[in-house]
Amino acid sequence: MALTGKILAYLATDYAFIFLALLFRASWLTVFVLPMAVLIFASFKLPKLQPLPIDVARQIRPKRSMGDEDVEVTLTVTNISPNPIEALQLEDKLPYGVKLKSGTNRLMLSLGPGEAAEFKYTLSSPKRGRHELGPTLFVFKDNLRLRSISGQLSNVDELLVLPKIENLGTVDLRGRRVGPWPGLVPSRRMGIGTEFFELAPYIPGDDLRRVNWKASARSRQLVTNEFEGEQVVDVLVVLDCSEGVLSDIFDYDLLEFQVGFAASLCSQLIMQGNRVGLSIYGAVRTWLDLAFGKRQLLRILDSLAIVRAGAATLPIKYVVESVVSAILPARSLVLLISPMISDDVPEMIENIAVKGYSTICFTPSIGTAPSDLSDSSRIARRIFAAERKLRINNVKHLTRVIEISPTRAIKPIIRMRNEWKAA
Amino acid sequence: MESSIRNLRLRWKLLRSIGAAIAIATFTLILATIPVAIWTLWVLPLVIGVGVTIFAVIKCDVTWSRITLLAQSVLFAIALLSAISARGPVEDVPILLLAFVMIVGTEQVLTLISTYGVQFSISDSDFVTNFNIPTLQRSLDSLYRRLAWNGVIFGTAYLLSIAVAFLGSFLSPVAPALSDISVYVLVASISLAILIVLRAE
Repeated sequence: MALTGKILAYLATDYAFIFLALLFRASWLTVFVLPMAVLIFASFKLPKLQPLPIDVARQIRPKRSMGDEDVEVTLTVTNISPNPIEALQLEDKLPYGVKLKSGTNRLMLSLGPGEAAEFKYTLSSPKRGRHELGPTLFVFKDNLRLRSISGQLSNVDELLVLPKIENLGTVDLRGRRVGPWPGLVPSRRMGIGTEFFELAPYIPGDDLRRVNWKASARSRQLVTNEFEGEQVVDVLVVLDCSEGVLSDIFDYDLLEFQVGFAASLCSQLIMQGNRVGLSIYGAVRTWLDLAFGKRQLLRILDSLAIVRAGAATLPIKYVVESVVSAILPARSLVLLISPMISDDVPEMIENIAVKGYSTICFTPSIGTAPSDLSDSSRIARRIFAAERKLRINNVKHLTRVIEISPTRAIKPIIRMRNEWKAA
Repeated sequence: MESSIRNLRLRWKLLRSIGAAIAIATFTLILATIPVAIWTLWVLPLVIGVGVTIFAVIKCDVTWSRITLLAQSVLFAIALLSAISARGPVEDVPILLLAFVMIVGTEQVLTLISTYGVQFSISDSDFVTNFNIPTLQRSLDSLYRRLAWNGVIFGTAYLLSIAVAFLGSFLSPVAPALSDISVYVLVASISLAILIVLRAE
């Protein structure tokens, strides 16, 4: 049990009155001590203050938010003691930076024995990341609020806010190596597809609908249309969130933009049936093996949800090259999302290309300089931009470099097939 | 459901009105103890004090409650100092004591209002979607009970203090020195007892 600041204020006031009485030799001033003394005695003697066991269950909906949506939290408080609780002060701790949209996370409750009370509050679309809700803090105070018993329950729940996915439309890839499974990527081999590939002599058993009658008439034998097989590719998306992402040269939240783009790209690639892996380089370093399907998409989004920008202990070229060699079959496709700030990135692209992988590099573009910049800052910004441009030019013979920007719709860029198809 | 919410709102408004009335009455009472020559100078603080009280009650905010307490304390300090300087305070003691008890009481009421205000000062739609109305009603019942109970304690504290003060004034014609000493002894023993109780806790 702890004494509140209020009781100390009462005592201080009492002693101040005694001091004043002595100072001014006015004994009547000591009368003011009595009300405080009575209150303190009443607080200690009349109502018994005892902590009563409570149970608080938290329900979060949705537990895994897809971003830009409000999250509803329901708390059910149960008095699990045989005695009534007259006044219980509860506060459900919110994660830093998360704001309430409606309801309240603080409450004063009165509960009968075994009684449960439910209340809700709504969080205003939390930002991407892993947030911890709770613990619930409780305070029992006596009637005069002079003594308190406080504590916290060990009921911490996790809320995962995934990056928002944008519909990028069909991503037309052309990999040098395709997998055996049917997909959407032209395989440069005959197979099941929609694009005409070549004419071939009719073999008994071939579907008669594939017979090219005009060509058959010309060649005086039955020939059929063969189509280019469309299969899946293995893609590794590499997200560079090293400290360069925090650079002032980008006048927008580059980290969120890159993460959002990576999420959208992975989602689209998986929806097209490709096998997708992920490598994240930043303050949080992680990688995911190649896999298909929605579960893989959820794994990728979970990994992207916790991405934080910052310096990593190992250089990017070492990390990414290791991951690429470990999980990606030869001649597969690497999609790199990087601001191209570090000198290691061009070297890494060169090493990956030498090993026979196809690469496409998405790099966020630099906006125009703000007008309120000083001359020295403006010059520094230009130098920085020029260095970055130089790095991009140095890798252009090895990879397709596509500039993306939050102010420019990404869907049309993706649809420009010739611009970013891997060699 | 609607009638329950209306009833809840009405009772909450009533409680806040009581809080505001106590705070404003306290301001007025303190002002009554300040000599007329001085208090005309303190009309402005009084007006500010009343304004702050209304803000504290409307916003149910702990900061405004503290500002109200501060304004009342400053006015009370002026009243006390003017009483000390007049060197004839005995007849003013009951009013000063009442003002003092009411300041403490106002603080108590405003703190409770600001604590409970978080859950009661929300829109009707929030009431329906976020809360269980019976739970809120029980919570409000508890608040009323607490305030009534506190009122009894504060009243008792005031009456006891007045009784002691009058006892001192009765004793003073018989044994003036004894009366002063008796008050000092009483106060010192209470202080010691408080310390002992705190230590025991």
